[in-house]
Amino acid sequence: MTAIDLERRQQRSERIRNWLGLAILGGALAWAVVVVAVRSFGPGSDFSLTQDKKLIRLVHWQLEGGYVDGMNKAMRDYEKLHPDVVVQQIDIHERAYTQWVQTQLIGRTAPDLIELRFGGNLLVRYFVPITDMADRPNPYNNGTELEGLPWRETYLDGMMGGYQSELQDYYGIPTSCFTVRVYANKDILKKAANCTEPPRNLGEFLDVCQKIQDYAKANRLKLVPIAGSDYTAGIFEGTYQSAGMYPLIAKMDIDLDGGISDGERLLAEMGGKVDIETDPCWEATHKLQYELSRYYNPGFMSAKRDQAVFLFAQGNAAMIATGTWDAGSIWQQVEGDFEIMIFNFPVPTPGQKYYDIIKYRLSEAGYATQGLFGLSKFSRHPEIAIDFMQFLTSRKINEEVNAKWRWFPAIRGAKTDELLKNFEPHVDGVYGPFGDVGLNGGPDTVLGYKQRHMAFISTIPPENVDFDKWLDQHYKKFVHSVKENFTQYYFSDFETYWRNSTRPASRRRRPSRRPAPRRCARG
Amino acid sequence: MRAMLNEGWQELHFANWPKAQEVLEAVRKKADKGEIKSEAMFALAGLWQIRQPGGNVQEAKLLLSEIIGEYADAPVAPWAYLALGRIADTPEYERDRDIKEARRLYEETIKLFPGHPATDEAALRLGLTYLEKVDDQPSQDQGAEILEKYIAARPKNYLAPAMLILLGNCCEREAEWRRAVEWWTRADEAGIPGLADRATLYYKLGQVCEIRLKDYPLAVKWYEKLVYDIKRDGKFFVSKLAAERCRKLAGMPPRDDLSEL
Repeated sequence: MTAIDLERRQQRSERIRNWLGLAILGGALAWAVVVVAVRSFGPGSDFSLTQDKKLIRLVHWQLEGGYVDGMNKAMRDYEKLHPDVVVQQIDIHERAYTQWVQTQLIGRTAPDLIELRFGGNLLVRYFVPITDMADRPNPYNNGTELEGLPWRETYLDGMMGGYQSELQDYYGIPTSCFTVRVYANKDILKKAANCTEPPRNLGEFLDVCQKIQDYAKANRLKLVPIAGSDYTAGIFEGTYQSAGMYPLIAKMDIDLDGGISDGERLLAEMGGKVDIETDPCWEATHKLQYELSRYYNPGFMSAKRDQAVFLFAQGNAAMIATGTWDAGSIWQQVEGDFEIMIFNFPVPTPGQKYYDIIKYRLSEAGYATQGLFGLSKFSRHPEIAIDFMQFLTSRKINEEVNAKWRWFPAIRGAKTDELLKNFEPHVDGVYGPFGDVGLNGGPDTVLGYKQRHMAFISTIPPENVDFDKWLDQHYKKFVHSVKENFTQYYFSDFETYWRNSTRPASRRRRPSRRPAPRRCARG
Repeated sequence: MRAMLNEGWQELHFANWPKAQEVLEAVRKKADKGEIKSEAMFALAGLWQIRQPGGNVQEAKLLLSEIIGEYADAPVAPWAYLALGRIADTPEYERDRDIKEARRLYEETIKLFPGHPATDEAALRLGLTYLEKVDDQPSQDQGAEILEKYIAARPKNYLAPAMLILLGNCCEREAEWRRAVEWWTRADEAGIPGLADRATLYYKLGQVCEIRLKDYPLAVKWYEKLVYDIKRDGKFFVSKLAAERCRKLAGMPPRDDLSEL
C-alpha cells in the first residue's frame, strides 16, 4: 500500500468516525424527543388523561406510610362522583419541598392545592384566601348532623388551624389533627430495663434510659435509649422547655394576656426581672435537655427525622418521640417485629429532680387542626379544587382517609382509629408561654441562643467525672455565654420589635370583598 | 347581566385576574348606567388594587372616584368611599401613607352614610389612625373619643366588639383597670366572633380582675367562662386551677363539676 493509499484510508476512517458520532448524537436526541413526547402526550400522560377532563393537582411532603395510598383512594372516590375530573397527587421529599414549591409558584406552574408550611408574604402573594368558602356549608356533609353548618364549624377547632391572624383570613384547609408521644420498643425495655409498663414519672423514665445505655455497653450493642435527630430532639426540648418556662409568665406577662411576646421577654431580661444566669426555670429546663441528650445516638444533631424513625424501626433505638404523623410509617416499618408501647412525656413527681419547676406536662386542649392545604392563585379550576377539599374534609371521607393515614380526623364526629387510643389529646397541663418551641425575642438574640444551645447539648462529658458537678459548670459556662450575647443584642432586637409592633395594622393589605355586611356571630 | 356580574365576582374571588377583568370589563361596557355598572366598576377597582403582579392602584382610585362622582346613590358608593380611604391609609412600596387624606375620606363616609356598615369600618379605622400613635397622649385621647362617640350612637354596629376592646386597651395603658374591665365586658356582650379571641379575652379579664383589682368573684366569672364556654383552649386547665384558687380567696364554695371537667 502506498503512502497516499494509507492517507486516504485514514481520512475515510476519520470521516466514518465523525459521521458515527453525529449519528449517535442524533439518535440520542431523537430518542429523547420520543420519550418526552410519549410522556407528555401519550397514553397515561396528563394530556391524554385530561383531554376532555379537568385536571387538579395536589402536592405534599407526606411520604409517611399509608398517606399516598389513603389520598389515592380519596381521589379515586372523588373521580367516581365527578367523571369529568382527574385528581393527581405529587409527593416531594420534605428536604426539597419548600424550594420545589417556591420555584413552582414563581414560575406560575404550581399545582392547584399545595400543602402549606409557610406563611406571611408567600401566602398573600400566591394563595387565595378561602374565608368566604369557609362560611358556606360543605355539601358533602348533607344527610349528617353537620348538614347546613358553615364548613369551618364542622371542624374540631372551628378551622382555626387554617386561620392566619396576621392576615385576618382563612388560607389553609386542615385535614387532620396531631399529638406527640413517646413510642417504645417493648421488647428492649423488658430485656434491658425490666420495664413492661410505661414509666410513671420522669425519674423512672431517666432510670430506664440509663439501664438501656448500660445494657448496650455491657453487651457491646449498637443500641441507644432514644432515637435522636434535630427534629426528634426538638420535640423533647420543646415539650419540657415549654412546661418548664411556664412559671416565668408571672414575671414576664406585662399585659396579662397569658402569652409572652418578644417585647415582654426582652423587657423582662433587660430590666432585670429575669436574670437568665440565676433563673431556676432556665437552669432546670436546660439541664434536663442535656441529660436527655446523653441518651440520643451520637451525632444526632445532624440526623434527620426519617433516619431517627429508621433507627427505631430497626431496633437500634429503644424509644423515639414523634407525632401521630409518623404512626403509620413506624407501624409499617416495624411490621410486627416488636410490640410498640405508647406513652406521654413523663413529668417529675414530688421529691424528684426538676419537680420544683416542671409540675405539669403541656396541655393539648388547644391543639389546632393541621395538615393544611392552600389553594394556589394559579389554579385553572379553583372551584373544583375547593370542591375536592370539601369532599376530603366531609365527615365520612375524613374519617376514612385518616384511618388509612393513621392520623386523627379533623372533623367533628369522625371516629378515630383504635391504634391511636393512646394518642388522644389530654387536657390537663400548662400551655407553652413562648408560642411553639423555644424562646421568642429578636432575630439576633434567638440566633445567638440557638448557636450556643447546639454546642451545649452536643458536648460529651469527660470520662470519670462527677456528672452533676460537671453539668453544673457546663451549664454555667453556657448560660453566661448566652447572657453576654443577649446583652449585646437586646437593644437592636427591641428596636426591631418596637418598630414592627407600632407599624399600623392598616399597612397590611386585605383583598377587597363584595360589599355586604359581615355577620358578627359567636364562633 | 347580573349573572355575568356574579361570574366576575366569582373569578375575582378565586384570583383569576385575566378572566375576572375580562368579564367585569364586559359588564361595565354593556350595562346601562346604574347599579350593575357601578358594582362592576367597584369589583374592577378591587381587582386593580389587589392584583399581584400587575396591580394598578391609580386605576383603582380612578374607578372609585368615578363611582363616588357619578353613582353617589348606588349601593356600592359607601364602600367606594371606604376603599379610597383604605388606599390612602395603606402605603405601597412606591408611595407613602397619606394619613390626612385617609382621615378625610373616613370622615366623609361617616357623614354621608350614617348607619351603613361601611361607616362602621370607617369609624374604626378613623379611630385607629389616632390610637396607633401609642406615645402621643392627645392622639390616644382623640382616638378613644371617636370610638366612644360612635359606640354611643351605634352600640350594635358589627364592629362594636373590636371598638370596645380598643377602648379597654386605652384604659389599660392608663392603668384604669376597672374601666378597662367594663369596656372588655361590653365587648364580650357585643359578641366576639372567634373562639380563640374570646378565650384570650376571658383569660385576660380573669388575670386583671385577680391580679390588678383583687376582685376574686369577678375573676372566677371570667376564668369559668373560659372553662365552660370555650373548653378547647390551651389555657383550659390553668383557668380551671385559677377559678378554684379565686373561689378559695373569695370565700366562695367550690364548684363540684369544675374539678371533674
